[in-house]
Amino acid sequence: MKSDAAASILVINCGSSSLKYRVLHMPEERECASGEAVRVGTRTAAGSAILHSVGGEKRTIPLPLPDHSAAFHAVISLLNEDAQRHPEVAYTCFAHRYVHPGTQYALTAQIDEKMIERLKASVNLAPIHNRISLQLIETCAREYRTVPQYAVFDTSFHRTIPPPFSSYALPRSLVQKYHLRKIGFHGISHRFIMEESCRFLGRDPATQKIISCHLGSGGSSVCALRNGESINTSMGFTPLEGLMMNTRCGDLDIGVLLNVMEKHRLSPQEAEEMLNRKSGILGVFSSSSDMRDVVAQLGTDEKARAVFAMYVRRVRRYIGYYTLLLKKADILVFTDTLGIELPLLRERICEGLECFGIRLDTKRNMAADGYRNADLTGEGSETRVLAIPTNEEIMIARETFKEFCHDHRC
Amino acid sequence: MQELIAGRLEGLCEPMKEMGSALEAFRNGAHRAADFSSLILEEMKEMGFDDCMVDRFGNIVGCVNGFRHEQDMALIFSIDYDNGTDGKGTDPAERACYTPGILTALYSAAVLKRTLLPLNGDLLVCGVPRSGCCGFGIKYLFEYYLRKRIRNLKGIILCEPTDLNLYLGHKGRMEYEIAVKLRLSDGFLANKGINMLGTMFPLIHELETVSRSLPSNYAMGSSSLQIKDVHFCGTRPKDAQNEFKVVVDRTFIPEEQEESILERAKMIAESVYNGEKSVSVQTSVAREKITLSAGTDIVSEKEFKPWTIESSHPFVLKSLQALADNGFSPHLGFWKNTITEGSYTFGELGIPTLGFGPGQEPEPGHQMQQVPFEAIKKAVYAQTMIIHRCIGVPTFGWTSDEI
Repeated sequence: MKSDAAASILVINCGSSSLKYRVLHMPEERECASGEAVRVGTRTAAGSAILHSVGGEKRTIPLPLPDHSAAFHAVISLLNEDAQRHPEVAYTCFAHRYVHPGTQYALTAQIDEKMIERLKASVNLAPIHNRISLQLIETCAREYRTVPQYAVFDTSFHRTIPPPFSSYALPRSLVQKYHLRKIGFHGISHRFIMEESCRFLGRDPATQKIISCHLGSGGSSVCALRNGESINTSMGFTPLEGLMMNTRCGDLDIGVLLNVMEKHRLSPQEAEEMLNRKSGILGVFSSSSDMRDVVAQLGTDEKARAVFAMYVRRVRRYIGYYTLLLKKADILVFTDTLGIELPLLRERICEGLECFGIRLDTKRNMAADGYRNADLTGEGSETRVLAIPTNEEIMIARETFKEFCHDHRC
Repeated sequence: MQELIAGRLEGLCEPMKEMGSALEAFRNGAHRAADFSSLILEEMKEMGFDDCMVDRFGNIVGCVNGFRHEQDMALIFSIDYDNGTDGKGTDPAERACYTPGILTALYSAAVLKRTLLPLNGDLLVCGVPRSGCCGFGIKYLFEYYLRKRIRNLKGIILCEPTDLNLYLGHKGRMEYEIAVKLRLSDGFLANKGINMLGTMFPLIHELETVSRSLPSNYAMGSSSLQIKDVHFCGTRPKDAQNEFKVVVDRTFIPEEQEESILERAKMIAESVYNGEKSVSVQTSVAREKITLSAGTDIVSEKEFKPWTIESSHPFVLKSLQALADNGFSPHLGFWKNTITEGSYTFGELGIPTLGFGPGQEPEPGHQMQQVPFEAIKKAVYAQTMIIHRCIGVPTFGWTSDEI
């Protein structure tokens, strides 16, 4: 790669009712513009809008955004306007976060027509998320033919999980027919955490054993990383497996499910609704699905104490398991909303983990502000304990820039 | 998925209200049905349907493309037949067009389009013209535009009033004529001084007597018989060409056969006039000449066959489950007064068909009551869930939240 290689990458990260975007100038990872189209296709009292930020100036632009395509067009026209005054906003390529391409793609790749056709076959793997990304990819291919676009896959980081950890003990015929295996998610975030924690500590990821705890206000997962690769993660074939989450139950004895389905005469759809939308923190705590509300009521509410203890126990279980898997971790990292905003949660999770060589410094833990990387390692700890805000967009841009340079022989 | 669909539906509330007002304004004003079709077509385009067109028989077809080509599904609503007039002359109670059904069909497809939830097949939204009790539009729709899709159709939802329940069929309905040829001579009631009109009364009286003892069916109720019209030609004595016709509007349960109804009507007429020597009786299904907006003339029989789909049919069970899973408490029922395209789609083609829509069906001769917007919105949500359950790619293990 030549040292003068540069590109402005428009990173697109879609949710079901949102479209986040950032223009990042690479390789210096400088943010030129960013924002989010909110309430896309929905109607609430606030109405849909684009929260746009460029050159330190923030604006909220109310706009009718009936779908993601409309939101994308609105964002592009905003960026084109800004590019008149801030030339660095002019993007040179698009980077899409694509949740689940199945087994077809393991690495970030430039999107062409053939790839679009192949991605179409993967839509049913993550029906809600993949379809939205695919629509935008098709829009870009149709309307912005001269701008190269890349797909960065959320699952590809976990492709290295070895079969003993990724296999389900189900009949082989079923496993083969439906390609049932642990897929794992939050791959982009876990990879960023790996690189960022090593950069922060001045270490080489290729030599480190890391446990990354992505504790979000929605989904959460823990990942075991060894020598720069994911070797296990808590989420499975779908995001339902693993930790207890805001409304997802996480790990469960399937016998419980079968029993409830039989007794309550639940259909598969009702069972899914129960496991995905009515369980987890919401199911136990009832009044909220947000762990921050739980923490606020720890002193007064018995149910809050119960759900907090359950949540902590499950994270600890995975840390314990992955510590054995890694034969002691070099780094334990907390990230995402709950991981960086709730020092009490980190403290309870790390309590009693001295037997694994993990000690947290309570003062440092309380002092961490959640916006910057923080070292929370206690005295005598064999494992460095960190809190690092995740930044998936940067990771997407890095991956894309690498491919962009390769494709353009920079 | 539920919250995703509910969110998109919220986003479509304003367009849905506007469209509802526009449709009502059209129906109540002096406008051509062709313009009504154009309005629907425009809305389909606005909602991002992948394909939409009007065929030469006035059928409107919109398509939301599936992600695969496995099994399609169709939503069918009725529109008024465009006879080239301004529509002023049509009795509102006789109109086939059911605005809440149109809105339910259009916007459940639009919601699915906007959620981007992948479907295993195409979703077809069809507006079918109907005239009185004559369903010519649906036949041509399937004989031409949809001919190749028949095998691929997993199910059809008829967007008619069911009060958010699932309706599985209805009685048949046909209009038939009893034509009686006779000579007003040779003492044929002549001694009583009764004219041609008077000669009809014994038959009309007998038909009315018969109408009180028609068979009934546990689910659908009784068959019915109403004299719809009478007319005659020739009143000259000793002219063998004198003829009168009694036009009968008959509904009938599945246990009755059309042929035997006509045969029985003939026997009734013959028995009424059995003392007379020069009487001949013919019975036949009434026909209607239809002039299409494209200028083509067609002749269609005025009949709808009875139909009923088994309550244990997988399409019914799936739909029922989809409603139950989403907080609805539907019951299975049958239309009492409404006739639908199910006579053709299920009765003749055998495609699984059921009815679903907001609002209650009106009593015979009455206009449809206004359906509150909230009921239409509920119907759109419910119908979207039914469609997704039947041809949607399952979203097990996934929610629309951030992962």
